[in-house]
Amino acid sequence: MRILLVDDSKTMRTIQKRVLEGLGAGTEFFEAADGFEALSVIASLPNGYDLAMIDWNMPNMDGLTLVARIREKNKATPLIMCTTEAEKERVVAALKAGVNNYVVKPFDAKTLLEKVQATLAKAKAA
Amino acid sequence: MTVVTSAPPAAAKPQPGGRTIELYARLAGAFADAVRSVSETMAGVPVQTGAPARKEPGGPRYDVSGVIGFAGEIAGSLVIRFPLPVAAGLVTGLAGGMTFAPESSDFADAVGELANMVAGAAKSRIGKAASISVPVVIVGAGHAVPALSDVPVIVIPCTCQHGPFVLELNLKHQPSAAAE
Repeated sequence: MRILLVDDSKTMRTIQKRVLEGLGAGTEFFEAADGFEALSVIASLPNGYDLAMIDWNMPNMDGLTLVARIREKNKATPLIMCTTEAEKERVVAALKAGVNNYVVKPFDAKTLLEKVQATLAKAKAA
Repeated sequence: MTVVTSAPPAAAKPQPGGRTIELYARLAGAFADAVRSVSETMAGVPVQTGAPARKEPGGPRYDVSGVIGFAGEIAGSLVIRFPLPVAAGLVTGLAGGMTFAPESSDFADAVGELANMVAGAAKSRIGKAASISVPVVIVGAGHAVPALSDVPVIVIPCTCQHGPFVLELNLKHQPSAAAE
């Protein structure tokens, strides 16, 4: 399992990594602090990745723009927006841009892990 | 995120009217709910909040501040202010037991993320269109944080197992403003 974590807070990436290690041994993590860095990391992964967790508010390139850029070339890999933006309009905008699921911060570990597992299972079944 | 080590003194003067007081009460309730939720869920640290009050000159000084700017229907700032041991305790909780030196970028990042989550959670509870800035973190004994001079600073006292800290709200309602 290869997971890309995109968040301008290193603390948040560390928290996500700690929770998602619950997906099982052998889970690999790749990290980026903004949308541009994420695109660069993606370009450096010849074997692709299985899931990306993407923050909304980041400097340089925000998460919504990143989702749109990823979806120009890749319709299949599941993307999860993980953000403090909880308003309904934001959730709708993210889903329209192409995210598969949406997690609002603060989150508890169980909820995050369950949403990631459900998203991966749905993508696998599709 | 930006980390700075000092700032000019705060200023806040005018007396709020009836509708403004109602707004402050609503804002204070949203931010108090948000800090309790974020601290317990993400750092495993339960927080108790006290009654909000207007900030008066000569109050306590703090060592660490996380500042988030608001723009849109609600404009101004949220500042979460801690004595150093309290910030360190919350950062360790957030980081899953890791400790960071107060001058490190990891420490500032954690304080900034805490402020960011409190601001975001409060924003969704307030229900006004607003955007929030990336966090600015100030570390330094007894520093001051600038405030809008045309609205009072509302202080929400907070207590956790590591000691007391405060939220300072310096926000005004701009009904005609649209968020980004």
